[in-house]
Amino acid sequence: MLKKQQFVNQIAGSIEQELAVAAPELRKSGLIFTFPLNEGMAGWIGLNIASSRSDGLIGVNPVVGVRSEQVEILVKQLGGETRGGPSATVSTALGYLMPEKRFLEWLFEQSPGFDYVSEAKKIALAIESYGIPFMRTTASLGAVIENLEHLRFSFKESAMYRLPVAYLLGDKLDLAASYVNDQMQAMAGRQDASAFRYREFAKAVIERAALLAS
Amino acid sequence: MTQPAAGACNTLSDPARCTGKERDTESGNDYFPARYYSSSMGRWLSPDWNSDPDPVPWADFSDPQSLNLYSYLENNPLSTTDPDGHVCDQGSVGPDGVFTFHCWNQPPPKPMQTGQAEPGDLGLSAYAFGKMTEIAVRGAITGIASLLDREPPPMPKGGLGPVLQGAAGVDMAISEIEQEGGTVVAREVTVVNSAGRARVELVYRDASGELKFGEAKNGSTAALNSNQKAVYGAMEKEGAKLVGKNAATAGLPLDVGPTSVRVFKY
Repeated sequence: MLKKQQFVNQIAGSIEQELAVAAPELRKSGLIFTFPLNEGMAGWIGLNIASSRSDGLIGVNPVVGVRSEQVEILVKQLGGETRGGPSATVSTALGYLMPEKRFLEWLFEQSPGFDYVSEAKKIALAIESYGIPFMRTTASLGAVIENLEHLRFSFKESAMYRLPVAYLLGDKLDLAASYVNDQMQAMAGRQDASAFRYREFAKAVIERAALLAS
Repeated sequence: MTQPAAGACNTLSDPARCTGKERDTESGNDYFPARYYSSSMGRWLSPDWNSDPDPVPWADFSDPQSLNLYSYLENNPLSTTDPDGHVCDQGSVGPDGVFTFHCWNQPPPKPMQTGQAEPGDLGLSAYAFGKMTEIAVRGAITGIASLLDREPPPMPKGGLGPVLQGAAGVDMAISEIEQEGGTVVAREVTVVNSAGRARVELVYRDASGELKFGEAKNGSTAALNSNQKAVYGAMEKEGAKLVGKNAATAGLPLDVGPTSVRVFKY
């Protein structure tokens, strides 16, 4: 029998094969897929895998979103993101975009009788039906800012890095500086590594805003 | 609404249309009393449910496919039907020539751990314990006779029940999070801090948009293990780095500040 990771790779391979039909320029980086939507914006798909379920099944939670190349590159330059691989600017679990609007996990059984290819096709179809339309409507700096401001398909810990950078790119320099100042005020007194890292990032944002304004 | 007999569906090129249910023309989904079915994806849009606090009330524990709460007719729409969206047998023909599906409106009891089976109410299967609802359907019955010859499935040997409850605990935690206005962001994410590393079952954003962490435990006395206690305890003071593939594939940040891990007990 295949090891779990090998089985997961097979599932991912099948999903990739199906998605490549809808998005011929699909790129794969581990379990993350990206494809160009328009200039500077890419569709982003991550396969979040629950491989330690106590029932022995493997759960696949497709996460979909967009990646603004400009935002992500600048976030990295300013010290806000050092994770390898393409990161998402806005993302959500696919189930919340589907009519049911709840967390959905596709379950796979590692057994010879289980038709994992068919299930993988269903995931790809769901991504095509509900994920890609969401990506297309979010594929602009304005839509990204709107999403991050309202935490519609994001969360605070991601938005606190990406929103000020999006403001910088959108020439909203005052907003960028005031946003990071507010965040620093909210974490005043914190001595954890995450807070120290954010303060460095915020300093870099303020400096960049000043540079752009001059 | 009408319900076609199982045999009639064999002649259709698209088995999903054999549901005989009303289709929402906007979404293309079929409405069943219990939930919606997406014919384009061949699956339910929500897991099977039950008003009783039973993790997998409609499952046949000897058939792993029935544990997939989203699969339609255990991925066998040509030979079975499902009138209400929960679970039904393959139907039978009564003495009056009426074709009838037998559907449970209450879940069957937990499987016995001894390996013994009891006959069902109508002798159709060994797992037909629940109170039954009958849906009579008049129509073509050609070709269904062979469906009635199915052997009763063997009952599971011990161990399966508690294992299933473990997975169901996470599902219940997810439901609770969503009822509170939160959304699940990721499953099984590795967190690292000065106390070590641990894998958190659930990462979610709460109604205010902040990332939170959750661990599901079954039973009021179930507790975190010593490693979880140490790592989660340290998270409350120093936060943690979020590492590994699942953190990346869910678009999670590199780290989080001090936060607690919520334990969901069922």
